[in-house]
Amino acid sequence: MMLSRRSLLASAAALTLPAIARAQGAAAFKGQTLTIASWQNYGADDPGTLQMFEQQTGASVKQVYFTSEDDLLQMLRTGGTGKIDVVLPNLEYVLPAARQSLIQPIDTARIKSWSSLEPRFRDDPSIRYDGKVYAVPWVQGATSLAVNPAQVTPAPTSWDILWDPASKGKVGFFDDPTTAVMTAALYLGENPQAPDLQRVRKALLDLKRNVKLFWSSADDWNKAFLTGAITMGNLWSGLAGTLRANGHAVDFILPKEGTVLWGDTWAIVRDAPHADLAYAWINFATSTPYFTQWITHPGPNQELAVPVNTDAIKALPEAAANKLLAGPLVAYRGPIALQAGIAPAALKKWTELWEEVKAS
Amino acid sequence: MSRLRDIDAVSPGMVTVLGLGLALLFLPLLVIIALSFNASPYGTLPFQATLHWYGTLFARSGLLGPTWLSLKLSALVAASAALLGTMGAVWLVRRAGRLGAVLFRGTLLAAITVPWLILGLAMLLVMNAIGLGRSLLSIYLGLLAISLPYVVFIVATRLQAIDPDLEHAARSLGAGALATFALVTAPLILPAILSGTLIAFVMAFNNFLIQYFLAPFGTQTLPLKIYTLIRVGYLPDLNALATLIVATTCLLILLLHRLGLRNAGLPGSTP
Amino acid sequence: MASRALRARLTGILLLLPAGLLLAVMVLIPLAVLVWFSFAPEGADAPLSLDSYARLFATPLYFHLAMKTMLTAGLAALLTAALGWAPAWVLSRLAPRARTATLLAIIVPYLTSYLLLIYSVFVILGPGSPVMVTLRLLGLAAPGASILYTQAATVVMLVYENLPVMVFVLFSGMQRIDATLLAAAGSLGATRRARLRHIVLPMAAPSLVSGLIIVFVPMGGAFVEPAILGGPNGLLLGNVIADQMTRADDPSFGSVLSLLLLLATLAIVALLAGLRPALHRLTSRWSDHVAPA
Repeated sequence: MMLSRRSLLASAAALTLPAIARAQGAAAFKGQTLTIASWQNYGADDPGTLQMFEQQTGASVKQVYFTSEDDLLQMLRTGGTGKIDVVLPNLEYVLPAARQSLIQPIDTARIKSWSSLEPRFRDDPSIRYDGKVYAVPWVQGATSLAVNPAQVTPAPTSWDILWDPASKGKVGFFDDPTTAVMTAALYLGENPQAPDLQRVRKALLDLKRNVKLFWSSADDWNKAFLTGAITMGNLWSGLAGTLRANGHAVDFILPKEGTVLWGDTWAIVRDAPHADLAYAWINFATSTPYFTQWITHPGPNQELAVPVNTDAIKALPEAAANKLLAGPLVAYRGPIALQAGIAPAALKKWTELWEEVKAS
Repeated sequence: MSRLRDIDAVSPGMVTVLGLGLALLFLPLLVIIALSFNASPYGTLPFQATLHWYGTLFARSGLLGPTWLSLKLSALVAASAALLGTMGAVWLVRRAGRLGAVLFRGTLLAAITVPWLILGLAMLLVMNAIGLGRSLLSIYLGLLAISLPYVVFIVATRLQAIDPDLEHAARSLGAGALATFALVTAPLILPAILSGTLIAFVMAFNNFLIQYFLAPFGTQTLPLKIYTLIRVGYLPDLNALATLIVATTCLLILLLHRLGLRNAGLPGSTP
Repeated sequence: MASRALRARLTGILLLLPAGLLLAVMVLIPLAVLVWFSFAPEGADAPLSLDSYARLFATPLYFHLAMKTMLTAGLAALLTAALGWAPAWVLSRLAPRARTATLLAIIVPYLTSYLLLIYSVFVILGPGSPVMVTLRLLGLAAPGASILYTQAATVVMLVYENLPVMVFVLFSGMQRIDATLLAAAGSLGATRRARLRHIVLPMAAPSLVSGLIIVFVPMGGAFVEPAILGGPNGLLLGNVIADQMTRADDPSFGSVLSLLLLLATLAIVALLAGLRPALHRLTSRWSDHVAPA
């Protein structure tokens, strides 16, 4: 393991060169192509912001899309490492990815917005593995109670409404094991990270009697909600905001028992071919100018979410912030079930429970 | 003579039945076409006419690439299925022993009787094990495996109906095996091959499950693209694309019809 | 002489080789792997065990689900045949030119992704749609109701998807029924009904059975349709399998459930295939009956 003088010099040059190049601005990454894996129509492929990034760095961007978080992990396991540079895992999937060394540790000193990130995400153990940070929190959202105000009066303040016998056949519920177990735990007053699964199972079976549809995509929800097939359910805050912005009546409620919160994060893939460019991307995508452009002038069909960067939220025009329901979400101080940090063994039990509830 | 009898046999009542059947079959398609001209992004009524989605389709252009890929892939699969399937059918009818024939038929039947959900998953497990993983080659092989049986069965049925004496005669007149096939057998089974190829094409083009499990990450065929879009919120420009596909197909059919493609062995007999 | 036999043998092998190899790699080995995985709940490297099977037998849940799946697919297959029968028959009586054009037209809906067709079914079955209005007028549905998000919606979708194939297969059988035979029977005094029972039905029976098998199999494995249209109680075995293989990341239990689905499907297919000789016997009995006349 002896390093020759020459290779030492060479690696020193390799370390300083990008720094010099960065200082030179636009030409820094000329000719490089950053490969990003994320969801379609979700920030990373927004044309307006991409143009800004390409102008700033001189690099071009290639998009790879996944259709589920498992899809993302499998993509990295089966040949994605070494080809893809930067990925967008959900908070819940950072630890599994780090544990399987699919992603690499992040030097937070190189992340400019680090100190502006909301502490509830920045300090969360679920982005840390083995004492190192593996992901940079990017956007957040709640999966909370949504109702049609014309048909559900008075506006509910509790998850009880979904279990009310009068709501039979009117409920749309998100088809996801973590959300389901956590929501039932909040309703029951249990600890959402480690609830009594017997009680949760019974509560979910009771809930199923009221459910009209287990939805899994924005489209499932929209079709059922806008035609009146369902009048209430649990819904992503971003989707509720989009519906409201399009002139549809939706009340989005953060119930008194608490709400389920999720976050999406940027992570750098192990053996990323363009790690420096990946840092440049993360710095760009968590910056205030990025969020202002993306949220106020999104490209067609872009799905928006609330930034984790508090400076960026403050800089948003009021209308844009309202569309995202950013205010209530950031101001919310009630109980939170953060969708993260569930041990794999527990998660497996939750998934089995949810499958059985659906199959019963 | 036969023409007369046919006309005689088809009463107005029967035409009505056929019309109703076709209407039933085309109803969802008509809805898709109507929705492609409807302004609501969620497919809700009332109907408001617009051409907006056709503009989006070409502006967004994210759909045209996958469509082209699907067309190329299915064409390649269909052509390969035609070749391999015809060879297999010739072997099955002319050369196979009793046991070989039973085994071959059984495997072909398995390929179309195991639900694609299961077969696609199992294929992925094997592709991962042999290092092909999710790749264009895997997806090609997978689609070929599920469309091949249709060609074999259709061509084999036709082959069985051909008098082997014709081939014997050619052989005894000195023609080699290859020449006999090219000059005598091939022209006779060509309609069956064509109809098998067509079915193979349709199978490959539209099979979502096999593609879902075997397509490389980041590569999107049309069904996969549609699936992704539906997951994240689907817009009527997909309806516009479907309308264009249907219109093109109808034009092609009209053209083929004009060119006098009469009974190209359609639909062939299925097992 | 010997070299000629050898050459014939070689040609045979060459003819079979590509198709045989493909089927071995893409069909036979995958199915074998599925069986192997079902015994390997702890992953491929761990010792084999019966744990996944124990989980299957621990609850009647999955057997009920398998039963429900088979009944749904069976009902959908029978409905498809019932709806496809008359158009296929008329088609088989058309003049060749019109027939080819109509047949090609029947493929058209098949070229549209069924993922899109699902969404048009939303419109067709939504509250206030003509279908629901008709049902309401018949007293079969409450005002404002819809069969969306029920098992019935899944069945409707499955029928739609598979109707073109059914018409195709039925047609190919009916095409062989010679018009002269029908004419002859008619001139011997057989009524329309008698001709249907004694000639058409028996002669089309084999293709009816083929058609049922061909549409039943994919219906049994469906999971996208029930997930989107079927509502909370409409999930089928395919949904659970897909979830196990993807989200739950439990390929072993997923394999066990796949084998359950496969066995159930094969049992029904065998039953249907068993109908063929029975129908054949029926045919010969009928023709014995008819022959002396």
